[in-house]
Amino acid sequence: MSDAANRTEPARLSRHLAALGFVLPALLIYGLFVLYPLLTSLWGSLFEWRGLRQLDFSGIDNYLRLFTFPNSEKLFGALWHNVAWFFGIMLFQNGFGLVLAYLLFWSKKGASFFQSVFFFPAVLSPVIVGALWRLLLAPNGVAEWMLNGLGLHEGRLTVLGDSNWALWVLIAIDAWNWMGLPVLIFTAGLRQISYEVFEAARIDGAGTTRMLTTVALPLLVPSISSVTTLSFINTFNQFDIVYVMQGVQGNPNFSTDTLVTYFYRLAFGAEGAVGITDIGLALALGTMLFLLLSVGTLLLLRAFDRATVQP
Amino acid sequence: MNTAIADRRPLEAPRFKATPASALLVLVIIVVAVIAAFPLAWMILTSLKTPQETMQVPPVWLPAAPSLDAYTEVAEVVSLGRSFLNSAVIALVTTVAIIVTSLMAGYAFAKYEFRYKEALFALLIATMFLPPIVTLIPLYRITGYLGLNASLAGVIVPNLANAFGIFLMRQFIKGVPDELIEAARVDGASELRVLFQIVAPAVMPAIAALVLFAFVYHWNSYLWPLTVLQGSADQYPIVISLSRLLSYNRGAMNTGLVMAGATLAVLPPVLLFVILQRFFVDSVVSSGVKG
Repeated sequence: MSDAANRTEPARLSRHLAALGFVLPALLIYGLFVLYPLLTSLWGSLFEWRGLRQLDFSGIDNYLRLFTFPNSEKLFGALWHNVAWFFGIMLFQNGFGLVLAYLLFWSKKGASFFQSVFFFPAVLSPVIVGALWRLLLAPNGVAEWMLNGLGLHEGRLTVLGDSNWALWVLIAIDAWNWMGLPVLIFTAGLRQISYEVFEAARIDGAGTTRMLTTVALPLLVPSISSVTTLSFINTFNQFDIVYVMQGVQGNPNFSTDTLVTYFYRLAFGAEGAVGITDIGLALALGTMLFLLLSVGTLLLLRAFDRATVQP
Repeated sequence: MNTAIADRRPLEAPRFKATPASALLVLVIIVVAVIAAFPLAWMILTSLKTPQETMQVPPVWLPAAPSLDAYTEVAEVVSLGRSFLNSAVIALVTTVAIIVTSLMAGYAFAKYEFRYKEALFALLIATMFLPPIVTLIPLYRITGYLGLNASLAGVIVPNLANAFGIFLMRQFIKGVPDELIEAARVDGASELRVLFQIVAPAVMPAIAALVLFAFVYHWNSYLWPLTVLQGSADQYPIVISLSRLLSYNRGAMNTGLVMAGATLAVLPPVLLFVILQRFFVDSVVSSGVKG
């Protein structure tokens, strides 16, 4: 704000009140419906629970239970699936997205048209994405027919029921769902690199492929940072697709279980006996998830900041 | 880097012209576009088929006589009109409210000085990507205390403001020149008028993007409505009605019906995307690249 604006005391006061009035509606709603529930969740993880009733203070008891058998087995299983999911997305969605963005960057026509087409699946609800892919991947479905026709597979296609494959199929569907996002971010990043840099590399005799690794990649660190951070956050929030396609148990045999589906079972009662909830354990898991996400995001951003090359 | 340079694209790409390699790369782009679009095309085609055609092996590509029977039938099985209306109310009210609250708070964070500003903003950022499910249980209890459960209000009210919207608006409003705002004030405009008549038009692309984000997200949202509506089926948004149809039909597999419902449910977000996608692309770009 300029000095002229602050010249008179009444004007300053009214401006201060205006700021308060502007922030208040958002803050009240956010405070009541996000921050307050978050605080009660964190606080509640230190208590013993029976059903929805909060009983005695129990310190880190819930956390100790979370990390001992049999809960630890579910916890580390789900954690591993999330980690695999993250690396799968980095490779199939973001690695591939970078190559696509680089191709679109060099092609003169249709870049924005293709960007939109690639982004299109992202407007679909996970319920619809799940329904669609269940249909396509069903026995006797289109995918089976195509793979059989191409000679890549024989007989019934049962990947969704196969514990070796189901997780990777879901990762591939997620990669399909959001394939447009890295393309958008990388194309934008490439456009910010000045033309002279590419020109200089070409005069030095670099081909298009070598320019990608020697010129584009180092200058794309901010875009890589955004894409990696977004993938990290989305991956560890993964719930809808698993829930819709494989159920809350992460079928078959927990092979597609994620941290959030595990949380859901603990909180809403499908872990162990039907209808029995373990809110204390759920809240401890929720707190761990919150810490993992916030600390992980912070570390990722900091690491990328250090790697950023100033053009 | 000045904008003239940043906007300039490579003028020539000789290595990419009319070689077998470049033809192959164009082919790759087209194949990926087909992969992106195929499942949607399949959904629409399936919705126009007869029940026999949907179950045929090998699959039938094009329906012999496209019919809208599945659409009229699905509207009878679930009260689709009502669900559609519920979704529209949820998505529209939420979107409008998010735009207003985000503009106001974003403006304050970008252009005012007030106590605890930095701390408040840091708090928003830290909780921006909170997994929504972590707060589901206490949130459900709060809406219960407020008497909002089992009603559309319960779906809507907790979502009237969100951290991402505030963050996005703040980022863009920061770029609006102070002189513009100051000039309006000198002309005697109230703070509210400055915001809605000067600042808001200047960040229109970002508003368009936020409209798209908010509308699509709340049109598609699933877990919270399912929780807060407590099984009152006449309040269900369309994606929940659709998922119920799915679980009913898993045995019978009346695929055409489900795909007809899905096609209808997809229509509003897709239309909005087509209308707003230009703005959307621009602002993902500018908010994403800054990281």
